[in-house]
Order: sequence, then C-alpha cells, then structure tokens
Amino acid sequence: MVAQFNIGESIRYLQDLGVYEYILPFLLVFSVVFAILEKVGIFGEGKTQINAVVATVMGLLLIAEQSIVNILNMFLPNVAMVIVVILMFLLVASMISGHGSGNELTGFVKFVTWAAGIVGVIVLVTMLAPQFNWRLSRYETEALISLGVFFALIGGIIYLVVKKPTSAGTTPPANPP
Amino acid sequence: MVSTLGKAVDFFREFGLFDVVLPFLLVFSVVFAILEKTKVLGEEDGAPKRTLNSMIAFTVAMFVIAANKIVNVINTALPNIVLLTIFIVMFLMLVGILFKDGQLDFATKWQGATAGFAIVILIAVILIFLDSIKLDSNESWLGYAWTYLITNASGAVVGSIFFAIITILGVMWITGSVKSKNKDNTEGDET
Repeated sequence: MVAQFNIGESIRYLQDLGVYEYILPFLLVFSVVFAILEKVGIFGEGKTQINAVVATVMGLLLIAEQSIVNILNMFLPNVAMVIVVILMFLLVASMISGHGSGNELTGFVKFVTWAAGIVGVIVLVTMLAPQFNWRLSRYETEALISLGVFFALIGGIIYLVVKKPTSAGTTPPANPP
Repeated sequence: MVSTLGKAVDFFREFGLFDVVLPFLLVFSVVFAILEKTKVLGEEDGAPKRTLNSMIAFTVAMFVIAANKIVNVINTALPNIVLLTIFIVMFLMLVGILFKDGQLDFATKWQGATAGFAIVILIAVILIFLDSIKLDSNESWLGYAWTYLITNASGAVVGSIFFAIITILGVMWITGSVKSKNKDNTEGDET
C-alpha cells in the first residue's frame, strides 16, 4: 500500500515543531537586519562578521519575545494579502487601459480605474468585516455617510475651483518643412 | 503544548542566554566595531590597536551585563525596534509594487518625505526606549509621562510645553520658508 502524502499534515508538523514561531521569525529578522547593516555600513566597510553577530543577537532576542512574534505572524500574512489585492487591482487597471498606453490614464479609462479601485476597496472591507468583527452601529453608519458626503462635496468643489483649465481644441504646431 | 523548539528556547532562557550571553555579545560587538572604526585609542602601523579595543569592549560589555536594569531595557526595547524595522520594510515592499526597477529612490526624489520619515522613526525609537525603562514602581517612563500629561492637561507645565513646541515649530516653518524664498530669488537673479 502506498503511503499517502498530505501537505496539510506536513504544515501542521512544522507548526508543532515550532518552525513558524521560532525559525521563520529568526530568519526574517536576521536577513533584514543583516541586509540593512551591510547596506548602511554603520560599523565601517568589510565588517561582515560584526554585522552577522549583531543580526544574530537581534534575531535571537526577538524569538525570546513571543508576544512580538505573534504580532509578526498576524501581520505578515495580511501584508501578503494586500500585495495580492494591489496586484489584482493593477491587473484590472491594465486590462482596462490596454497595452502600450503609457503611464498616464486619461479620460474615461481614468474614471473607470478609479471607480474599480473604490468598488474593490468597498468589496474588500465588506468581505473582511465579519472576519475581524468590524461592526458599525446605526449612529456610526449615519455619521460616516454624512461625513463622507460632506467631504466628497467639499473635495469636489475644491477640485473644480483649483483644477487647471485644459487647452481643449488646441493642436500642436505643425513641423516646418 | 510547548513545541520542541519552544522547549529549546526555554532551556536557553533558564541557562541565561538572553540575559547574559546575547547582551554581552551585542555590546561587545558594537563597542568593538565603533572603537575599530573611529580609532579613538590610536593606531599601530596604520591599523587600530585591536588588543586594546577588544579589552575595552570586553570590560564595557561585562559592566552592562552586571547592570540588570540595562539588560532588561535592551531585552525589551530591541525586539520592538526590530518589529518597527519589519513594519517599515513591509511598507517599502508594498510601495515598491507601484514602481519600476530603480525608480523607488526616496532619498533623492522625496527628500521632504524622507526627512519626515526619519523624524517619525526617531520619535518611535525614543518612545520604545521610554517604554522599556522602568521606575521603581515598575511603571515605565512613558507610562509615567503619559499619566502626568493626562492628569495635568490643563496645568501650567503642560500648557507651557505645548506653547513652546508650537512656537518653535512656527518659527522653524516661517524661517525655513523665508530662506527657501530667498534662495529661489537669488537663483532667479543669477539666471
């Protein structure tokens, strides 16, 4: 009979072993601190051994404080999720803008991109709300809506007043023969 | 349930790795590196005096591990500073998504923002250390200052401090803007 391989079991085994609580935070902190020390060169050029010792000490001191390791373990997956969300947004935006349109989004495309971004944020917040137990009372919802409308109005007016007049209808001068 | 690695860390904690060995190593390395870099104690054939530097670094490190309060401050403050470092690196990583290779150069392109970040980081580090240093009543310096600020918010001392801060910031802002204006004018005259 062939032994069944279950990747979930492997992850659970690594968790039980303490890889996520000790090894990974240590590796992360060691790499980041070592890289920063090597880049900045606080202790002078070519002091790799001293940088390595300082980075090791920082890493070991961090894993001794499990409360901070817990914060890291909660924080880092969220960062990864935000990266995926931003990448997906860029994917949608690039789908709308098309290939080779340059860095500037103009006109209707710009409007659609902004609208997609706002809808994306609303969807994201709505999806995450039950997970993080975000609940707003009726009073808070009304206050948020009224504040949002007020600021949107003020922002719109300021934008209309401040925006530079576009030179519509002007054509670039023709090249001399 | 304590994991296998957790048991190992507990063993090292009881052994004194985190209270004695690591603070000693850290202080020794930092003091030794500074002495080697600055060559405060002189040179011998163009190279820093290693024996003397290592002896002084060793002595300073031994003094530090003998002072229990300082070791506690190091043990509490450093993990928090590392956490701050990770936050900043993650922030830069998130911002980096929107830039091409080599475009994200804060120091040259956004000098004002870089200076602002540096000030925020300085304040955060000061707050972390203030939170790590404890009074005899086991209350941190930060907690004591915060409690004092809250209970005496309408008092003369807090009011004077706020007034002084606002005045200094106002003077710095106005003189800074005047200086930059004068600089612009002189550059305009030259061209």
